[in-house]
Amino acid sequence: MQRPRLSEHSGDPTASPGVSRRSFLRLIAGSVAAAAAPALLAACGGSTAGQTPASGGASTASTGGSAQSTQAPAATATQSTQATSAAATASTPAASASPAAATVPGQGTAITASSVDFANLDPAVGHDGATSNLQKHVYDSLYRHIGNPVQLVPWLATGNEVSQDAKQWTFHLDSRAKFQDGTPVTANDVVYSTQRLLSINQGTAYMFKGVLSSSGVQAVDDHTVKFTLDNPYAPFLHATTWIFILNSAMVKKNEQSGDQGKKWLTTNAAGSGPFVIKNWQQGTIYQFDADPNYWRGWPTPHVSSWVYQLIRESATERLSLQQDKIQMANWLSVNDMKLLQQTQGVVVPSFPSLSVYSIKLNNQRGPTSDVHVRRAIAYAMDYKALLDYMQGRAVSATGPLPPPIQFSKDLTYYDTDLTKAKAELALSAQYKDGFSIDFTYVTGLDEERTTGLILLNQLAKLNIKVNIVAVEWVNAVATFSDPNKSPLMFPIYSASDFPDPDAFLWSSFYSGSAGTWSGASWYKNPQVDQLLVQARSTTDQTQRNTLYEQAQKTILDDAVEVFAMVQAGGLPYRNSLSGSLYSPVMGSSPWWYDIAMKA
Amino acid sequence: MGRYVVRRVLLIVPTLVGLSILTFVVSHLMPADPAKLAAGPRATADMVQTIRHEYGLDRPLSVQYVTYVRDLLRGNWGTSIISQHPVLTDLRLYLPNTLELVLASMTIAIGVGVPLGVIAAVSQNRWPDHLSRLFTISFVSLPSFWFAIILQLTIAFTLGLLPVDGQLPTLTAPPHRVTGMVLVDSLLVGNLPLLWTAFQHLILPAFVQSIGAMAIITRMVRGDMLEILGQDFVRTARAKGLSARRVVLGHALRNAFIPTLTLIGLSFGFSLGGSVLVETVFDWPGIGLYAVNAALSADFEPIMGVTIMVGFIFIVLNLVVDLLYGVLDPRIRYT
Repeated sequence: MQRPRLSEHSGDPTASPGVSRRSFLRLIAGSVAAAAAPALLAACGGSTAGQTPASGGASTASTGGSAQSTQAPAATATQSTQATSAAATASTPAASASPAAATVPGQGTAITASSVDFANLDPAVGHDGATSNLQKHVYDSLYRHIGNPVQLVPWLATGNEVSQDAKQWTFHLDSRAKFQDGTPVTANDVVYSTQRLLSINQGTAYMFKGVLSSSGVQAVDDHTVKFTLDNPYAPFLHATTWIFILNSAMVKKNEQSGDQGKKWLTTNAAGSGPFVIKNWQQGTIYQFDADPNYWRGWPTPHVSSWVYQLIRESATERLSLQQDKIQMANWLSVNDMKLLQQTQGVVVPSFPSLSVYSIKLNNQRGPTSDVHVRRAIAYAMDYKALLDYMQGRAVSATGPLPPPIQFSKDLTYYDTDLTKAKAELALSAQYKDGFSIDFTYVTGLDEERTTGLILLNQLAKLNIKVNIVAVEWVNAVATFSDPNKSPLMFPIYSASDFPDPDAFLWSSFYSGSAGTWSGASWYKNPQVDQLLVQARSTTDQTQRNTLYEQAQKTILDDAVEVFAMVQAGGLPYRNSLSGSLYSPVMGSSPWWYDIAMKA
Repeated sequence: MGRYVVRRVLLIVPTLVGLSILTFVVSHLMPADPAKLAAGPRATADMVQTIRHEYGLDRPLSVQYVTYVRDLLRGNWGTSIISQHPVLTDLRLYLPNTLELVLASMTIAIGVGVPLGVIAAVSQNRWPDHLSRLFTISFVSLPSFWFAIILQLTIAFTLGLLPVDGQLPTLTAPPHRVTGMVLVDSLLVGNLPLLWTAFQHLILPAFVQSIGAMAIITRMVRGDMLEILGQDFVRTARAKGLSARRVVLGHALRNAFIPTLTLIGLSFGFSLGGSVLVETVFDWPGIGLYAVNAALSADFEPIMGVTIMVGFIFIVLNLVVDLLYGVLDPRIRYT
């Protein structure tokens, strides 16, 4: 199947049509931001051949296999320096890659609308797409994902050192870094923020399960912090982007009954990010002003105030954007995205994203526990029909990993082929004569329902009767934790919190992830487990790629899921905006720091 | 009268207890796992358990209920497991918005529905009656969600006569919070331009919210008026030479209004919980939207909070309506 090309649509009526996905992530897994790019792998520590922690570690390790020196950045910060350089050479705005002293005053107020309210601004608790959209503007992290293609750049840190075994990571803080109240960001704040995240055990804490304990993070001095991991974890640098650094003194001051500031941080911020909370009207609008004293300065033109306005009806959002009452819109319906493509002055981007849409097949019970049945379903699926429905807002999937980070060219995927489907089904002793199966989807989600209808039509040719069952999301989630209740076929978007194969494969196919939303297939294969553990434990990118390729081949051979398509990303916006308007991670929203608005 | 009121007030307590038990049991019977939902897509089992434990969801249902009631009596209405906002804070925020919307919509419904019903009755089978029938049947049949969007498109977007949504323009600061109702607070602080702006924002959502009740009130008043207008005392009043206006409004309507009053009380109560569609379309951050979002997330404590709060208002409204019967008809006595 030829992969449709993603493009950017403007108001040109001759532009090819496109549609937006319905808001599946809106209701649920917003947390799963998506996307990345091959260039990214080159930029991220522990992810790229030639720029791996191993290379950094090899050059720095002196004793005990660890990189210890904090005095010789030219040698010891090899990894981070290279990562930054890679970032700087890509298309990322200069402001992000290289802090400058000059400050350009902000201009204008931009309104971004969304139908989804966000739950909780606390970085140790809130972790969904809508929340991430806001957190990243008020908080900084040691490293940050920015731009498109995504790059991993040092932010609060000036660089890092990593031991050869990828267990010890040392970060040097930028001495200029200050919180929004003017107090300096210190290593103790990093330690506090990390330990608080692990202690509360919510939000992004899952990324550090089995990897980092509270005792594993220590302040070496005011500007040096050292992480000692329980187990090697090659993508650790990526994961640090999700440790937002809190002003520990401010949080402690606002603790109530030992709650670690949870109540206060729900609607207040204690960060060092470029935007400060200006106006907070719960359920209505949230306004953030550019902090004129932001420690990295404002080297490029930028919007001086951003408003996050709740508009719950997609049609109202679309009309507001068309009339320039808002400058950006989120969670629009398929039809409204299509209509916007005809609007002068509105840009409807369509970038490669990391959001893989798959049909989870329960590998533990019913017909889908039979590998031949799963393969038959994968062959029977009409992928083109689904892409046609998406009208240019998706490309075909080629495996578990989305195209931007799919390094393997040697994977064989399932194309629509009813002959092969019938042949596979014939190999099933129990189900070869056909059966009846439920296709469960979340009420109100059009793409998912359409997928069910496509399967209903296709599988009927194999004498398989599909019953399409709509359920509320909250009820569906409750079933995932039990393989005897988890749906037999369930479509879902899965993305990643950071662009590394580990983030995708571990969360869906490692046996320990079974029962989570992303592990709803209940796949358990010791061979794949071993490959994934090995891959996250080594810093040799070539070796990692080999291991991930083997894992993907096995996953495809086992037809664990039907990888149906990869979604296009990008929010429609008025052409008065310019700058870093799409980043596929952290809520897949723009990075306000780099966006300017024409009057 | 006094004993009646005291008895009715005391009855509020067991009614609310019964309501809370019913809601608690039903909401916990749902095959949902709010802790898993709140924990997120990749949360491990121990993370889900942490949340479950924090919110006491790992305890027996009876213990959970007793704890809930105990906390409620102490003024703690619980916390949303999804947003982690205190429920009482949320209720204080969202309930006034819905009250404002419902009060405005009921004012429209009564203000238009009652006169229209009277006119239809006194003009039985003539064009005003036919027109009123067409009007009421249309309004009862119109899906409010669809009607709201049509009004937005025409009146707000195309003609630009009224604002599209919200309670105030995006960047307008709300008035100092006294009642929580923007219109009332604007008046209280004496900010007339803001009052006018808030009023303009209220017109469309209040109108859409009112049409169902308005149509039913119209039909109810018409039917009851026709019945009353045919009775002997009306004929006597006319024979005594009273003006038609006094006969209709002073005698007939007063008697015909008792069933309508019941309907108004019920409509008010239903509107409090059933305003979600209008709140969604017009981005009106009210209790209906809050309740639906809580229900979709199986967020138990907000569900309980809304139920108890709306239930309480509903019960009080019914009591007020019952007492008003006696005002309208002196023959009614309370013992």
